[in-house]
Amino acid sequence: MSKQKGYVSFILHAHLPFIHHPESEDYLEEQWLYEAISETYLPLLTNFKKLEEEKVDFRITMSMTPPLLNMLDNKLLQKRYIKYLKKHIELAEKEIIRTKNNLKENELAKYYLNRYSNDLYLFKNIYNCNLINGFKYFQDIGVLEIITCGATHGYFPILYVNEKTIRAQIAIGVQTYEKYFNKKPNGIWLPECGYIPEADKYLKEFGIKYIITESHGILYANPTPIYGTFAPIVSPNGIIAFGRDIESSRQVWSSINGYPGDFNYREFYRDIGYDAPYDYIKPYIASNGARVHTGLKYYRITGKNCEKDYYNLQWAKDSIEKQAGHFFDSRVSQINFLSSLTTNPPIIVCPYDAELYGHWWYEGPDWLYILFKKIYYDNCNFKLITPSEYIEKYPLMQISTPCRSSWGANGYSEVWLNNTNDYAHKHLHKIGDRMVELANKFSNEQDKIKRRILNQCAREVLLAQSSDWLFIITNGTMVDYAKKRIKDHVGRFNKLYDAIIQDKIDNEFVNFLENIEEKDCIFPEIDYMIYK
Amino acid sequence: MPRKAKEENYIVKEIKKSTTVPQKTSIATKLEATNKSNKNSIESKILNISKVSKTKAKSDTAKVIKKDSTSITTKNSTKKATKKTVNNSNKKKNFSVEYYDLPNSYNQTIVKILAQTPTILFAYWDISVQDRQNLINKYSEDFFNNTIPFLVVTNKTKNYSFEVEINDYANSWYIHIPDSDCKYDVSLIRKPKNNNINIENNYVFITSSNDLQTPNDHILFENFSKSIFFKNVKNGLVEEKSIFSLSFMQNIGKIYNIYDLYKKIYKDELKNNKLDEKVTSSKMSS
Repeated sequence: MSKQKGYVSFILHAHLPFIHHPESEDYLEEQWLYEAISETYLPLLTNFKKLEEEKVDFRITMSMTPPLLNMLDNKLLQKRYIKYLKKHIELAEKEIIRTKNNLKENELAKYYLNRYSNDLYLFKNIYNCNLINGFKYFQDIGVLEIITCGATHGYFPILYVNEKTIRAQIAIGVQTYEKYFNKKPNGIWLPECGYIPEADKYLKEFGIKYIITESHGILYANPTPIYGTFAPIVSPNGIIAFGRDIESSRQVWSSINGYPGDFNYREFYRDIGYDAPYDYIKPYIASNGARVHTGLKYYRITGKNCEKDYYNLQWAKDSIEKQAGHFFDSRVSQINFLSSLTTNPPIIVCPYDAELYGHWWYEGPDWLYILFKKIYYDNCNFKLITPSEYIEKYPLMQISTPCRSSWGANGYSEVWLNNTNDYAHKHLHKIGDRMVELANKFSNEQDKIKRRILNQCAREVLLAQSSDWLFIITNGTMVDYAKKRIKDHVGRFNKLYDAIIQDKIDNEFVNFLENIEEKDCIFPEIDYMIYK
Repeated sequence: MPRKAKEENYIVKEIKKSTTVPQKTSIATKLEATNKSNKNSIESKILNISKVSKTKAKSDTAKVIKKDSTSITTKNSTKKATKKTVNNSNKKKNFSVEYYDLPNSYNQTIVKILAQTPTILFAYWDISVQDRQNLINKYSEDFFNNTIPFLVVTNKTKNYSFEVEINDYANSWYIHIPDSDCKYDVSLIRKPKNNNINIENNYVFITSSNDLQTPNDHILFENFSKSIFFKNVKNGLVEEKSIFSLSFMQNIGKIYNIYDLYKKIYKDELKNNKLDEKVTSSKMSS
């Protein structure tokens, strides 16, 4: 093996907004979690396990956000995931019969039956319904570094007009991490990579060592980082920032020629939820009869604006091999060039949404598996590394303040602040201000009911602040749901606020409190005093 | 599952809203700008009429939204899902049916500013009932009819201000600013519309906003100094390095040439990575 001249750091950001509806099973949005478990989280765990069994030394970093951890730990959602799997197994069994005269479809139906049955086995029997411990295992054996995130993925550059709300997002993110992983996190994934220097002091306060920024978070830093994104920088407040590499990012993310667009890969948008006869598929689509994705897809991307061909697992594998090779070769030549320009070996930071791997790019987890094996076995000038390991090896870094930035379109705040969603900000700011007011007014409240109200107020503020609602509104899909979530959390907060301020707490109100405590049950151990 | 912010191909609905491109003026020219805006009152009225109609359109939208109260993705499916939710809740547990609308006002006198981009501020504002009454008591019953609201944008870093005429039908505004990477604040003031009101100094200050540092939008080569500082994050020791050796500068040049190269290679994709123009207010005013 040739001498290592540099490092590559994969960072997967695993996040979903907190969606929990005990009042009804009809919320399609709750299925996002189940899709992500089947298509992303279980395949990643399975591939990590394979690498471990094959004694392949690899490194990867994942942020697991507090809402995701809370959902993965939620008994009702675990139960409903099992129900989801059983329904998919039933559908796959029916598909084997329905497609008996079509060999290609029939083979794929059998593949899905096997896959969903395996998911059920893994989830119940191997992971005991709790995937968090599955990921924790790989952290404990040293191949996976898990980092935290803001409590509910609140977007700092907009929330920071009230800095205490930023502090609470960070504090609860760290507390949630400690609860599940029994240690403090070294790193944090700033929600949407939204960086503001004002957050540094709170990151420091809660023991965070490093963050990930979009490329221009480093390139536009002050003073200009002399090694670009190929070395971390440290802010004057002591927070280390790693910047996203542009070249490796485009190879995966690009909508024009990114890997997920390979013609042999599975076509996301052709699903039997839309293709199968209506009466047949009706029990497996939305309860109101709307056709939706089922997860059973028989076609490959095939080409642009053409008739779709059947998905071929072997062809997809061939493309995975080819693209893993391309990514590998690109990094080798990139590092060869860069290593002569930097004092420390360069680091190529490759952050992606975890759900891209498997959900949007079905073959993504297998691509990672093949790539990691290739890096381990082939004669290679670089190694995989986690940000913490890099800091440990190369602690000398340039002092520079990262640029205010995000990883959204155009690099700043347009995704979360534009004509479609700007109406929400005054409410988000106001309930943040009111939460701070409550924490000061009812400091260390001893009355049990009042304390419950105050803690629920904190949950409602945090849930309203989720950047996902603003993003969904901008994106134009499932807008009604996102708007409703903002209205519900602001409305519930204001109702709680009025009751406690006016001291109007009767039996009916306690029933209401119990109701929303059950619905919005994120952060069971929350202490509202974090806002003081 | 919603696509994530980093992913591409945004599909965005068109919702129009007013934005303002200010002319950069110094504090000394502020008065002149004010006079101009008074002279152009007919034009302003025409503009205001169009803004009013936009505001009305927005409130109509709000009414439509008010009717929606569920999560299922299509509007047609909404009613069915809501009904089913209620039925289920009756069978299982008594989850109360909740409906909330966002308050129109929190009865506060406030201006808040946010940075949408390095060169666009978003401002929202409100005046409390009590403060409105105080102004009426102090000046006249027709105070709000006889005055026009303005936002005074101050660049505290470069020490200049300019004014943006707004109207009483709006409660938020996008403001183009000339300089990125600067500290700004915005004040809400009112100026006499006519001679029916007598106001000292020709304006009434209502309130001012939070301070806001806008993002930087370019590589700061102009800030390069002779030496840079490195910190050992393990032991806290800081060391100074001179970067003005030829080899050092060549290396920096090569690294930043890579980024120029990326711009050329990914030209088309970077274009595609932009938000839909219809939703990007910076495009609205052009």
